[in-house]
Amino acid sequence: MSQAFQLRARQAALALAISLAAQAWLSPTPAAAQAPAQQPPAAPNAQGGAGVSGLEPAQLDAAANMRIMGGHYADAIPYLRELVGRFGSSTDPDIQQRLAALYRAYGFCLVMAGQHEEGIAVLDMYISRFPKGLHIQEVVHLKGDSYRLLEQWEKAAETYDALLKNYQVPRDIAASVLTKLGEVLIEAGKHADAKAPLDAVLERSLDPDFRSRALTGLLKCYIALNELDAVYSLVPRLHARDSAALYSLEFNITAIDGGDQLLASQKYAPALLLFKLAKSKKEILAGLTRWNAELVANRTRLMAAGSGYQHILAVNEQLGRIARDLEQLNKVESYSEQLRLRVARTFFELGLKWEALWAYRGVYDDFPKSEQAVSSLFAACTISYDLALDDRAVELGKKYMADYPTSDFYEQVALTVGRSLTRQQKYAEAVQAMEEALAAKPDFALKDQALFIQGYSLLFLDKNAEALAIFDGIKKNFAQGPMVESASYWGAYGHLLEPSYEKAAESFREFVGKFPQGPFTDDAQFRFGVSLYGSDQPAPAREQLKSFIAAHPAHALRPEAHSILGDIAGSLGELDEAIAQYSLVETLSTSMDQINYAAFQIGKAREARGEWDEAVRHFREYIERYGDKGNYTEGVYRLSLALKQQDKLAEAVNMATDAVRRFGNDPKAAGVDSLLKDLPADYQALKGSEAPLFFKTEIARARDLTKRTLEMRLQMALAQVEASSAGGLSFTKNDIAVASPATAVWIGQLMRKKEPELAQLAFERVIAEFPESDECGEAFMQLAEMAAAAGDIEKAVGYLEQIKRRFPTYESAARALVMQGDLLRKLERYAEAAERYDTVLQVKEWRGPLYPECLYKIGLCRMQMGEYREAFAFFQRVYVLYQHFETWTARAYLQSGICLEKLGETPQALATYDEMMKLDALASTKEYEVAADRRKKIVATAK
Amino acid sequence: MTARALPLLALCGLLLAPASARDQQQNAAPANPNELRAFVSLQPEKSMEVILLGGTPRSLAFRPPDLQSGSVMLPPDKVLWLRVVLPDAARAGLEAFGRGEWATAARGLGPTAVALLPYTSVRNSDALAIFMAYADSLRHLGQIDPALALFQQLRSSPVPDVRRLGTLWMAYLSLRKGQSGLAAKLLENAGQPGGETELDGLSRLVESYVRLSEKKPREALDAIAQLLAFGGLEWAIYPEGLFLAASSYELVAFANATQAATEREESIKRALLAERIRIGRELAAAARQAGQPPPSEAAILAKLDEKAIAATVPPSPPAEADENYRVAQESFEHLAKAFPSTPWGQQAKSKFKGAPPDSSSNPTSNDQ
Repeated sequence: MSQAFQLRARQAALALAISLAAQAWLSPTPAAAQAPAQQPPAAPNAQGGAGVSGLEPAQLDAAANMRIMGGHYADAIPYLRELVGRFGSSTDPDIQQRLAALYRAYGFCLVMAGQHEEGIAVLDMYISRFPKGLHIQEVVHLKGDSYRLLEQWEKAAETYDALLKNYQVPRDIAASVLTKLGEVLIEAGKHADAKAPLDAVLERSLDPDFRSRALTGLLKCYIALNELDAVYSLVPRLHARDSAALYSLEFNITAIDGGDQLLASQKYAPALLLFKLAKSKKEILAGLTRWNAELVANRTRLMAAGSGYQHILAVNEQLGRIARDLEQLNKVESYSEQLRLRVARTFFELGLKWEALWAYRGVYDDFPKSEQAVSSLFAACTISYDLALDDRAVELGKKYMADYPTSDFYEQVALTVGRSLTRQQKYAEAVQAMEEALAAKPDFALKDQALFIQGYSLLFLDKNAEALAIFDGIKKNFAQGPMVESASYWGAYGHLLEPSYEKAAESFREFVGKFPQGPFTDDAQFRFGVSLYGSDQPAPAREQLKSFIAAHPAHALRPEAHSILGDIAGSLGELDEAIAQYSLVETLSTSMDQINYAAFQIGKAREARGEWDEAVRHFREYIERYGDKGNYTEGVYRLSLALKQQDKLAEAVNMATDAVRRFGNDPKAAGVDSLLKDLPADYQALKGSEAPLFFKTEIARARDLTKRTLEMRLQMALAQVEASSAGGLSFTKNDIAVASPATAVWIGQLMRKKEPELAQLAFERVIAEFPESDECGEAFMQLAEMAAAAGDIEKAVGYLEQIKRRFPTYESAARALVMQGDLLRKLERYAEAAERYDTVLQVKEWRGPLYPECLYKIGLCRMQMGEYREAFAFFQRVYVLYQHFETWTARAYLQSGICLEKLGETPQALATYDEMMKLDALASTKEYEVAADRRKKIVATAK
Repeated sequence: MTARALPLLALCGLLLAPASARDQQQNAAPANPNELRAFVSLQPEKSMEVILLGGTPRSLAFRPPDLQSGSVMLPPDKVLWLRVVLPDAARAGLEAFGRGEWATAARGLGPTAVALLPYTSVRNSDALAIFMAYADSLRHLGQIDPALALFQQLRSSPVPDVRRLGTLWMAYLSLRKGQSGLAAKLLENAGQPGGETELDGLSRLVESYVRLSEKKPREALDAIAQLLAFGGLEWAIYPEGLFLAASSYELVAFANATQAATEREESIKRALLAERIRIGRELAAAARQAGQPPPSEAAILAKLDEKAIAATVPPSPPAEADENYRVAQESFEHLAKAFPSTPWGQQAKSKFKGAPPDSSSNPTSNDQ
């Protein structure tokens, strides 16, 4: 609260006090007090002194009375002074009786004219000469008021106290005197003494004005005396009937000032109470307006009921008081936003962060143009982040960045937005937010932090190269900054993700050496081991992982370390060690994913060694131990494979059938799809021609049980033993929604021509719902084929790119790459097409018919690019290395010859055609005929 | 009228009704105790006394007292304001309500409150306050179903705020009956709180309870914090909001402590296993050297000092060490001091660990 504001309020309050005093003393009714003042009759002369001495007493008396009744107190003084001068020393009993009234009026007029000291002297004369006078209480009261107006607080207090002690003061007057006694004692700094009279007001008086002032005074006392528990005792009193204090300006100022004092002395809880007790200007206005309306309604009702005038006047008096309060309030500047800000800050200091968040946000929402809006929005954004309310932090932070681009907190807010977005894994948005922030503030002081958020997010967007460049930049340009350690760790991690294991190993080695005690160190030690393994250094990798385990036996990454140790041992052919390491995972980990991986690796090791008994025992134990919690159906599938190896086909089929029946209606039970790939052939092997009937019976049972997912799975299985059964099938969108991934892909393939939209839906569901499934790659492939068939080559290329990115080792990826190359050739993007074919040639596991095809197609691309020499070399590799692939060999010979012709090397072209003509295996090919024709032309031209 | 009725008064525009006016009402109480009278205003600055004859929320029946029969039907929006002349029993009931004497309040207010139901549609009227005082008394007495039936009737009011009030209190009472699903639906029906009124505060109070029933203390805090940030101390629901917030902070602290304890258990398990493996390997190596069979599981476990291993894992902090717990305790203390005579203040007193024992309190009712 500003000092100017306090001063204005105090002046207004004092002016009001004088006005009220005038009413109390001179007006027979409030209505008369509100009557306009009459113009005074002309004074005998300007000074009034010489003129009055010539007047008769009756004239003096009449003149004084007339002026007093008109409210012109100063003008009455000369007449009264003259009368006192003439008769003051008289001992006549009649005059004595009139003198009392004269002194009373004279003293009053002096006080009202602001001549307090002279007034007090006159009142004292009354008190000493007429101690039992009719108006002695009023005179003493007025004397107290004079001292009060003179701000002689102690004398005022003594006078009021004497009044209460020495006289039988009527109840209504006593409330007024007690209130004023409390107030002057407070002004005199005697807060402890002030409490008793103010408490007495609350006990004895129902007058809302006195109660309000008493509550205000008590609040001042409690704050001054540091009686903070007593502050709480005011709450019920404030909320008791008719408490006007809540809507009193003085009370609210006191509450806010008191709250400020408590806040400064870190007494937050009582400070909050005071701030919450205080009303904003708007609230006080609303409250007073509501009260006013209620009083008006009440007055109307009283008048309608024919009530006595006293009741109506009482209402009028209250209405007058409200009108004055409203007038004062309208002169006060709004302090609502400052008050709300205090509430918010106090909430925060108390650790009430949720309340603080909403309070700060409220300041911004309700006063967006105020000075407090900017810091409030910053606080709300920061607290939201602290409370992990990331959506809200981002929403508020973005508002801040948009509204206050040049403010002091811009950088912190931008970083908070970035961190919230990364915590929500909204990496693309985080990158964009940081880009915008850095562009908006080229001199961004915390640039390394913004760049780090950008790099970190790019890493998770699979944009490793960009991320690594940023991390390198931080290390280079902010070498002494706080982000170097994080940038170094995540840079190494980026290499691991690429994957570029050698670089990752080097980076992690460097990191561990440079930051041996940091928050990322243990993690880096583990990943160093992983990187070594990835870079084909199994022995150092094993050593590193073992030392990690020794150093951090309780580390959360320990199970994963054992898994990798198992992989390392497996890759070195140490299957016993591999099984031992994988076995530890099960005992160390609570993650079913980790346990499943290790368990199935153990099974794989057993299978690799042909230890079928062990494999059967292992999977039986796995199924028994984990049941539905584990990958049950996959376990059954692997168990059935092992059983078949033991020639226990019947048991394998029974187990598979049981698992299919139990879990077949769960689209997520991926093992069921695996089981159903083998079950038809196995059943046929076991029961021969009964297989179709078996599946049809199962389908009918599933249908009866309304297990649509299982029914469709069984229909897919039946199609394997009776292809025609699929012919009449129809499916709906609802079916797609409940289909397993394998069934969805099967339905999609079945419906591609007949109902392409349904097929597309099926493939899209697999991608959306089962992104980790084996069928996801196939779904992308099918969509790519459909798009290509529809002529949307760009879209097809996009799908194939997804396969390449998401399933780099998936067998369909090779086919996808070739198809992508073909489509890019159609788009005449030959270099990109050649790159796709070349990728296939880099994967040894894909060696086979795809190799000559890709070599040949790279040759075609080079030809289109005019690079005939290079093209020739690719064609030549086909017929030299892959002659047994006749189709590609024939094509390659023909194109080789054409290249040589284009190069003007006709003899070599002729030799190539001759070589081709010698290969009988190619004689039936179309290319053979074309080559023969070209050869003839060359020979003919030569002749 | 007391703090308990303030929200209703605020809704009706009756805040801080002057005492002298009430005295006049008493003087003007009708001679026939079976007649319910009121002053109504149909034009500014004019009012008249009428007998309330009932009607529906959309059509109200009045009769001037000087007529022996007949009635005037008016839609509620034609009435500028309405002030009920309370019969003695209802007046006594209202006074008892102020003192928290629910049974007396319910007995006194019941007939008048029920008769006033149609008049709750008048925007500027004390009928709703009287009706709510009766419904609140029933609520405090645990008579949930009768209270629900009353609030259900408010839902047919033509005044949107009154409908919303009925719906929200129904949601509140449904929670008291353990029907959190129904409460959530009612809350949704009541619409999103869009402002900072006490009705919006009530909506947040109910939402907070719903979130707690869903075991989401953070979401509960988010809702109730809005009430506490914007609400005034004079709101009747404010103490309950403070209690709910403090309880939610406490629940967050307990959830954090449970999480920390679970993580510690996992750490101990891992440490024990690592130690078991180490001992097993040592014993196996010793057995091999001695040409003895490998050690049994029992032999390994016998060497495993579980307590010593557990002691190597730092203890998880108790809920009492959590910042949210401190905040909860301070909030309980604050509530107990600021609202000592409310049920919520009394419950808070028992929750505050630093509070002296007090056996005199009865947190629910003064005269059940």
